[in-house]
Amino acid sequence: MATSSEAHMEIQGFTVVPVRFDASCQSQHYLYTKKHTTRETDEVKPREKTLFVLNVPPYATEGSLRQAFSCCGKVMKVYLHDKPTKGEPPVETSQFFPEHATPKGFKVAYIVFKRSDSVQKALTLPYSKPLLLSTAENPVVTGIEKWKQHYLDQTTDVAEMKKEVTRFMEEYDKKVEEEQKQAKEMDGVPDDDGWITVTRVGKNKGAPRTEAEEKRVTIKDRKKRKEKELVNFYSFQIRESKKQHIVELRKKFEEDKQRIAMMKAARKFRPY
Amino acid sequence: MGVQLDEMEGKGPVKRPTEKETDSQDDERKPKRKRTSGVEEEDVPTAQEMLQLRETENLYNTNLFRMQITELLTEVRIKKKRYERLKEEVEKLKDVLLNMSEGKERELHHQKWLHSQGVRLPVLQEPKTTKGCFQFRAPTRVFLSGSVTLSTCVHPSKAADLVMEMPKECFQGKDCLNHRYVRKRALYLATVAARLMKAGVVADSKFTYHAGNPFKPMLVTKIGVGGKPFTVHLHAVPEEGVFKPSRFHITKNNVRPRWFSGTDREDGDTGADDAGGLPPTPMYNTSVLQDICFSASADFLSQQLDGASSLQDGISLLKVWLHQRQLDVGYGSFSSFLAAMFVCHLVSQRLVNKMMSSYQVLRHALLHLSTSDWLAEPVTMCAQTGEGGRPTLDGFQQEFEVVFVDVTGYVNLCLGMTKAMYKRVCHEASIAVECMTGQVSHNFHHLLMTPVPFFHKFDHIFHVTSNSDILTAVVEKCQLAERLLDHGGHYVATVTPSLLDLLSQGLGDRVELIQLQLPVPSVWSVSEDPPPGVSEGTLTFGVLLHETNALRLLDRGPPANSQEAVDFRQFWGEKSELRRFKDGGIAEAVVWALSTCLSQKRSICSKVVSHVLHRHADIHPDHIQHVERQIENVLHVPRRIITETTGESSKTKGAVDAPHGTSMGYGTGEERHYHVRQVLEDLGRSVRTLPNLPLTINTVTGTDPVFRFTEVFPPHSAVARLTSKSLLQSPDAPLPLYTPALTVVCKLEGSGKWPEDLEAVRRLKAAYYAKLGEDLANLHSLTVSVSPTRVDVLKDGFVFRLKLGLTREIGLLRMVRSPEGMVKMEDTPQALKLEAEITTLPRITSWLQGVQQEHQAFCATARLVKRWTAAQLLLGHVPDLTVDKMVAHLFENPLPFTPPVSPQVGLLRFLKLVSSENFKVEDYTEKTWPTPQPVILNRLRSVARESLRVLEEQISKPSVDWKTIFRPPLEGFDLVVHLAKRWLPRRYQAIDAADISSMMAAYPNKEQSSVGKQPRRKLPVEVEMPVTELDPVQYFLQELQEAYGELCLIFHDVYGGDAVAVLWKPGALNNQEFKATNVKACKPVVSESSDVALRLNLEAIVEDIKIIGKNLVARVEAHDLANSQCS
Repeated sequence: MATSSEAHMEIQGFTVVPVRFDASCQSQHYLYTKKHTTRETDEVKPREKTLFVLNVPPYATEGSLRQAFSCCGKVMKVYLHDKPTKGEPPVETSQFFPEHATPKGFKVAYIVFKRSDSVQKALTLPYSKPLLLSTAENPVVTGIEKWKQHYLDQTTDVAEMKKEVTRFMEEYDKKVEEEQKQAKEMDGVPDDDGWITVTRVGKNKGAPRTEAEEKRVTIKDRKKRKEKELVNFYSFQIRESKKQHIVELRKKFEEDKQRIAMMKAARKFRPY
Repeated sequence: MGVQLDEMEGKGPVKRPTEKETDSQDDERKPKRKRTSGVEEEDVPTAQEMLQLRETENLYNTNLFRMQITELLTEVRIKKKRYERLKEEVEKLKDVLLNMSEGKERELHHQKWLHSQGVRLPVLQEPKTTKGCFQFRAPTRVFLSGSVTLSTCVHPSKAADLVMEMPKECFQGKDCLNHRYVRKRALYLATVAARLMKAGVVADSKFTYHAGNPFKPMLVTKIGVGGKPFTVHLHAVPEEGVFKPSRFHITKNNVRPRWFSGTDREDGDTGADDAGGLPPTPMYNTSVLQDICFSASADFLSQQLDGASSLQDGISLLKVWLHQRQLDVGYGSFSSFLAAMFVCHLVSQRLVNKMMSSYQVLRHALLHLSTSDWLAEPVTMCAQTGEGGRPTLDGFQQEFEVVFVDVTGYVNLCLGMTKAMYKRVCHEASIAVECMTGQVSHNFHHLLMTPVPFFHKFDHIFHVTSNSDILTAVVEKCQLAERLLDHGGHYVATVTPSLLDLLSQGLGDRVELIQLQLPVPSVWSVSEDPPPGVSEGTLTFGVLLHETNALRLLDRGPPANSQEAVDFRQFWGEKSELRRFKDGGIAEAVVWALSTCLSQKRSICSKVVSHVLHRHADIHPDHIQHVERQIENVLHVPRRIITETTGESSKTKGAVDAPHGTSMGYGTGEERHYHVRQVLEDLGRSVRTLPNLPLTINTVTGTDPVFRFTEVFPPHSAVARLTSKSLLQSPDAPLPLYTPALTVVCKLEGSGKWPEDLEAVRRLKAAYYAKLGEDLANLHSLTVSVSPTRVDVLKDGFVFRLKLGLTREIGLLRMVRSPEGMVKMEDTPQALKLEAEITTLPRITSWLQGVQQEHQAFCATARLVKRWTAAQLLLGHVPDLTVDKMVAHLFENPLPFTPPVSPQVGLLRFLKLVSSENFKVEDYTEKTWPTPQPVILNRLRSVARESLRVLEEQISKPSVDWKTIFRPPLEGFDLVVHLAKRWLPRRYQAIDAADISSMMAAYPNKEQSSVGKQPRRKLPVEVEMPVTELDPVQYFLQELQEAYGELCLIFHDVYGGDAVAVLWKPGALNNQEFKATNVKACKPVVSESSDVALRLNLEAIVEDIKIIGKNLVARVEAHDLANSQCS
């Protein structure tokens, strides 16, 4: 651990970068940063130019990180994830129907610089000078203000939404139709190995392959077998069943005894 | 094969009692049989085993029950070894007693010699002087008696009763008169006490009243002090033949009024035959008779019970049952002596015999109690009742409320028992019979193991201040002077029957039971005087209400101009008025409340009590404290909020034509629930009949708590002035008043056309919402707000959030395709969530609606309980549905109680349920609903225990601060975040909400705001959708949860709480190894081994909290931060 004022601190290959919300804050969080290294090459996060950042505080946004790290050079892109992830975060295709949750709480960030020496610079950021996330020019809004704004932003443009739905459904219908058409064409046509796939369309539909269906079949079988059996028909069967009755009585007796023993152990018989 | 079997046989695990006897002959036979039958291991059952197995089936309910009873009996009975030691110790004491020397002869009232020995006379001496002399002589006989000798002794009263026979020489001619016998007996006991103390053979000597009877003191002392001591009760009875029983015939007078009133100082020393015309003293007479007839009763009992172990066990069980219900202690209780006598009575009636099992004895005793009526048909054990100078049954009935005559024919065993007490015993017995026919696994527990304390039993508790002024007034008003004479100046016992009679006449069929909590007989040291006849304190009454009758607004009396009408008017006084009824009749009637509001109706019984006691017993209402009303206050909403949210209507129209939601009608909010449901029903009708929807909506079910009657604060209608969106746009305006969105699930008609793709279903639903919103706005002129996942509709000031419930969607969410192409159904979290929303909740909602319909108190109870859970910061951690189910359980399975009729008793029983050892939360959860964590359950249990203790104490003492258990406890948390009240839109719901006016003043005035004035009905489309579900605290909590949820538990009281408490999970504060996966919210530190480690960055987190909740957080208080950081 280095101590001089300009020195950076490194732990097990991670550079520790203190970060504060704004200038008025008294205490700080610590970002753990490192050069982004992976076995496979990642186009959106080039190995040489990307800084990998752990422990990004909850209120940090892409903008605020870009702002904070611009001291090391021009920042091209900031990606936020819940955990270390390859590639870009998924992009929402729809305005009204989000499919992916945005990262919450403490996050992981990838900061892509324009030049590779910026990464180097970032890795030697001094331990004694914390970065600031919210500045007068680019404030991060939190608390009541943020929530009020969030509520006001919630309104839905119904006409726009309807348009989008229509578009989506048209595409979907087309897709389904195509699939059906393909399935119909493939019906009864053997594949390369000579196997014919049974589909829902076509002549030979076959039973649906679900768990429930399978269960139903086995239950049916068992029932059939049971119906064929003769019960209490031969005298030995009657004898057996009587014996079975006694065995059951005894078994129940033993079980009850055990339950009592457990209750006794738990002092369940002290009425007061 | 055979060899193997032989070996197995040797180790056989089954061992039965008869195995030894049959072993020799079995040895040869067994292997053979095995081989032929081919059945493994089992052998022929012996006759004895079969008998036992069959017996349990027939005689006991089940095996389990039999064994449970056996275990219980061993637990409560005196151990054999200890009994032997007791006998030894008693022998020693006997020796001392029998060899006591004679004392000097002294005047009765001359007691200085006794005081000098440090002993005071254990009876009330009122008046002080009575004639006669006393000389102590050693007892002629000393013998053990009572439950110890009968083997019916059960914990906790394992005391041995030791009886001393006072020799003839101690008595003189007129000792039957004027308390002389009583004082002599007391002197005898006092002398014995003094001598025993001097001899040093006993320790810890005290006096108490036997069975609470103030004429019958007994000496309680401990012997065998070397080891674990034994408690001994020393009684004194006269030698046989000293008094003739007929001298104490219940119709005779043995206490002269002239002597008692003190006018005749010379002790009305007239002959016994001059007693004609004087008031009888049955209570005094019977107290003496009990001593005279003691041996007869004792002999009878031992003769009946000797060697009949099942009878003894049955009596023991009956005693446990009585004790759990607190019926066996106090003056006029159903004492254990009475219980033993009762079982013997059943034996003599051939209803019970010695061949029965203990369980059957108990069952028959309870069955008989539940069906018989001693008030109508008094019971006697003496064949010659009424003959040979003995009193007749009618005679007994005239003098006593409940009659059960003993074998001698002179003594009423139910001395001092009130009708109310007897009814209570019968009532409990019928519940017990119900227990025994119910579900097997629980009945033992309900029957014998669960205590039924007074405060948990009765719905309504009230205290009457008792001091000499009040009680003297009652005696005068009710003309009880003769009774007072008979009770020897003991006021409480004198007035109790009259008060109970008055109350039951006044309350009539509104109540099932009324009872006075029997005071536990006081115990005092031998060196002190006995407690006075009027003790300062309170009389506590409990009332068990009738579920529907208790809420009746009007008592219809007899028709006008009849004789009964005069009596009715006489009883009710100015309250009674002539009324014409719908059926055309004109009758006297008493009207108790004008409002139909439930909280008003609940107060009727207390009004009746106050009125009756004031009118007929001269007890001023100020001296009566009713408990339950005050607890209900935590469900009230500040009046200002109600008037503001109901708009101008409350001022102009008044309460008359707006029955719901006005300040007059809010009460405790039940009516608001009904009102909201009514509005939903209207909306549902509109929704279901919309003509142009692609698929019709079949059912509309509200799933918000308000629809299942469990919303602590049901919503008030939104007033634009207070909830407008414009308030959000200006930075200085206060936040809009909280308006919840009430979730409503709409189910569509079936259709096969839904796509099999979740995303497509989502889109189609959104399109449906758009259409639905459009139609509601156009056809029904409702304000709507559409989003991709719902439609919000504003109707009558309430916001309903309509959601489509597609069961098909659950299936899609559960569907998982395995690599082999097999489709499997799995409970994915999303599927469970949806199932909870659209299947579980509607089902539970309709179930709870049923519960409310059946039990009117459900709503208030559930909300009181929920409020308590929230106040303890646990609501949410314990899902509110789970709480609702627990409360419903109290109503649906009330055994060994009856369903609660007042919210207060419901709360008590809930606390009891949660704090008990047997509480299993699994019984109250749903598959689709999260189960609370064990740490939360532990906390719930411990706070419930504490609250229960506080509440029980508060109920027993009138006029205290009822809100104590509803104030959040903030000690013991690591961080406490205090919130700025200004930003809490629900702060008026807080338990100690104070600054309501300043809160309301911040909103724009009615005159200034143009939206507020808009006439809603004419231009409804113009009405703006209020700001819904905006509670910044919820946003704040959510962000905290997302950031620190893994590290800590976060607590908050949703009902206006102004603090958030944080508790670190165990281990969260420990140093951790430096790893990329561990760094969350941590700072690097140098650990002891000079490695770099990670530790939670507490200072930064505290600052984070302030940043995340900017403006909302006032300050953060960190407890023990320094301590935890040091480690």
